[in-house]
Amino acid sequence: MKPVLVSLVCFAALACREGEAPGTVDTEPAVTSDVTPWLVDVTQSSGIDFVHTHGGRGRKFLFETMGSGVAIADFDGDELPDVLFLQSGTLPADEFGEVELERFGAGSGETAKLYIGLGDGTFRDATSGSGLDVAFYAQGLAVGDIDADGDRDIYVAAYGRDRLFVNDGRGHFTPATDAGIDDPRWTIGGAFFDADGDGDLDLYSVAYLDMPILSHQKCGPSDDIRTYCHVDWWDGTQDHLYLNDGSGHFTNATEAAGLMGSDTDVAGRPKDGKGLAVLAADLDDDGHVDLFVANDSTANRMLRNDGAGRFEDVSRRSGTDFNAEGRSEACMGIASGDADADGDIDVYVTNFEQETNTLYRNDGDSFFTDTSVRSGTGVPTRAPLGFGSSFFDLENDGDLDLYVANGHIMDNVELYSDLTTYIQADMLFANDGSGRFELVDPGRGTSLDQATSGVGRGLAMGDLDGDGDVDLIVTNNNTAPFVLRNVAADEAGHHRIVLALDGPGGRADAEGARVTIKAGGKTFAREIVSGGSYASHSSTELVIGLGNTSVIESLSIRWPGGETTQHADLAIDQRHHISYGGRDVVSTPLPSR
Amino acid sequence: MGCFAQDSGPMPRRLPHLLRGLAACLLVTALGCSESGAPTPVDDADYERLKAEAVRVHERGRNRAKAIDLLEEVAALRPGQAGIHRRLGQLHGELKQNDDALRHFEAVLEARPDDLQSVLSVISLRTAINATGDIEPLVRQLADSDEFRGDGLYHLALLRYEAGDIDAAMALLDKARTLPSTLGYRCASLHGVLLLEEGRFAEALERFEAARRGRADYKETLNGLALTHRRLGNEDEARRWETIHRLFLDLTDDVYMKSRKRADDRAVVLEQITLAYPEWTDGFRDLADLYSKHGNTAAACRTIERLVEENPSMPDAMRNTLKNEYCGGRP
Repeated sequence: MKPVLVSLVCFAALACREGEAPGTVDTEPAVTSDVTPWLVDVTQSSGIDFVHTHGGRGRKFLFETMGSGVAIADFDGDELPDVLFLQSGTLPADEFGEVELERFGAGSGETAKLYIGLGDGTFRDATSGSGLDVAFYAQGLAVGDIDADGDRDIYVAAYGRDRLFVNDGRGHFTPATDAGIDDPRWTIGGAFFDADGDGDLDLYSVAYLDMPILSHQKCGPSDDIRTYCHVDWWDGTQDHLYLNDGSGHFTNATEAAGLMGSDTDVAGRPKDGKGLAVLAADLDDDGHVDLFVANDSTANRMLRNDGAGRFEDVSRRSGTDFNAEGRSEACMGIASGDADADGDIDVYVTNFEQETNTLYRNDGDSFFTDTSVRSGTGVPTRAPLGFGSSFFDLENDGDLDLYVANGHIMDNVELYSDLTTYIQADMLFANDGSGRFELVDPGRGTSLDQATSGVGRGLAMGDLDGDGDVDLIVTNNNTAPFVLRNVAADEAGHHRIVLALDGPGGRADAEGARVTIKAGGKTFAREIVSGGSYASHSSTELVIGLGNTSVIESLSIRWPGGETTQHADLAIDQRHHISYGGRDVVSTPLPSR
Repeated sequence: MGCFAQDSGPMPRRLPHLLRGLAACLLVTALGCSESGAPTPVDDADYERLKAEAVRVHERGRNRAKAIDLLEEVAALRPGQAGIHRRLGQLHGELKQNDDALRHFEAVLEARPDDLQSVLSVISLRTAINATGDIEPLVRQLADSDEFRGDGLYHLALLRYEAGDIDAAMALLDKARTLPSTLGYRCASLHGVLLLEEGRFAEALERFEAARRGRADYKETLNGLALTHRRLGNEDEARRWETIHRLFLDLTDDVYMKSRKRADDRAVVLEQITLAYPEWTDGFRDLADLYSKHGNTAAACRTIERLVEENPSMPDAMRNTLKNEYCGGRP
């Protein structure tokens, strides 16, 4: 018998004995049913044919694991949601040297794809000629009207130089090469928000690792298996705040704003950083937009805005830097919303496997408490590795449910672990209205065959088919995305309103606006936040579920800048486009159920 | 994010289960595999030599990768030896390789169901991977024991808490108040966490303080102390515990911190901890050991002298033993 054959026979025999899993992972859903899934995969019929590629050739550069983001926004000014998928896969030859390009390879040459919405949940490919058909290693994005001309521009964070694409209002974009944000470091995403209260949109860009191509290492559990290296191998790198001069030109104001992560370890290396997501939202309810940064394996940062562009690091005081066990987690994404319907914004972060995702309940006065276990959103998430995440009202009943996109980073993890897989099922949690969540059976939650299809990364929400409920798009690393149509809300037939709020000074959106609704005996808050999820941008339109109630007792809008207007007279089951300050309201009916 | 370090770095390599079988087979290449594919039994003397070498490498503690490889070979040749599986469980557990650790601790229990330390390890690992469906009998086994009663009650309370039965969890944690603090510190700390969630800050603080008396370096407790002092408006105390907690994170959170390359960094953090938190006497010992290991006997002695100074109530016998050990017998 030849030695090789001996080995293979032996290999097989031992595999049978040793391959027995030591325990099965308990992610048994609480809600089971054999009826129609609540979120139906309509990717194929939607006209979206984007496929993500990371461009790797087996050498395992860490950036190959990160996937890329998606945006849902109206880019061509027709008030219908469009979709932009970022693409990774290519290192531009004008940014990287010969040796670097030799190490990684020529790349795929694939570009982002822009799909223009037709209003019925279908899309046409409008990439060609959009100005977005540029091949580079894109990761995440932020969308906002940086020049207040009424349309939405796009910042793209990248492995390599970041880019800003300025919209002409018709969905055609021009790269702004002198905008001052062409950061060559590895950034993952960002958020446009008004940091200094001057009415224009500033940018917080979240940076990940100081990892030049040439610092790449060969890593793996054995000589035979190559894997992506541990994040601790590299230092984190400083996030940046860029202030807008009003015309779309930005100045790095990180230090002046008090945002430098001054904390270093004993070797003088930055201890903070390794950021993967940023949320811009009013976390202390003082009318100024604050920041929450999810860091991978280092402490999270909560940064309180004084309204004039100066930030105080309140991470420790707020209790959001670590989990209840006193440990920093490998945070990947952020969801935010009034999860417990008490009128303030709670924060949820997704984490690595064998860590629960963490729900920080907002207790007011800038105090937060880790209620992951108590809320039911933590324990089921110990097994998977979460990335994009968003709260949304699945069935328009007035409380916020939760979707989490999952997927491992190691594409060969099955080779050395019995307990996890590269492809992982996403998770849908249903809120009972009190802030207590239950994991929904995957077969009930979505129509996806996730055992074979998903490596979740980005997640964006928006009403893709204009029927007055929230649909979802999930990006998957190195494969096609999911477009999920919400049918739960159709089945439920609840009342709802949709609000599109203009920003100040002609700005397309009112980022930072807070809406407080009293209806059906509940009082709850919704906010137009920026950033959040992972590498993605959700529609700024607020879809507000009202349940069976047909009367809005009160609805107030606190606009960016502080003015508050009352709108209890808004008709239900309509979309209301409200100009800044509530001066004009254009209402159109939503489809009847 | 990420699981593995550089090949040549300080993190030991780990063989996947399937390849481990192959390694075992190759080990006995000289003998070949039997027709059935199972490794051919090796000579007792050869086996004992391999086992002794594996144990020696493990106990020397310098090369965990080699220790794992050797012990895995031993385990593959003669499965079911509780001692070998326990060593492998510990080693994999130290490296947070929970699936491998769990497999070995469960193998220990197959051979020795009354090995309570391994029962605890299986429970902890099952909890970490959210595979707790059938662990309650194991948890009760601990709760009914003397030595591990605190751990048993803790995990029982955790099961109730994670199932949403907060009242039952609270009742179990309340029951654990009677335990000696060294056995009940995890119960006290979890109790603090639950009370903190409910906004009962003064009660939470009392439980966190009780937990700290049982174990001075438990991060959940240190974090809880910082958070509850903050909520109670005790700003100075809050800052102190925040600093201490952060130093412990520096000491433990970076996977490379225990590597030889980062020994200097480890020493700096330990120096800072011993200054900020002299109550944690283990820190002095760890620091002195670290200095001794790297030949800096003067620094080791200085550290022990500081320990003695900080603890005037230390019995003379212990004082002298320490000075003998670290200061060459200097009084």
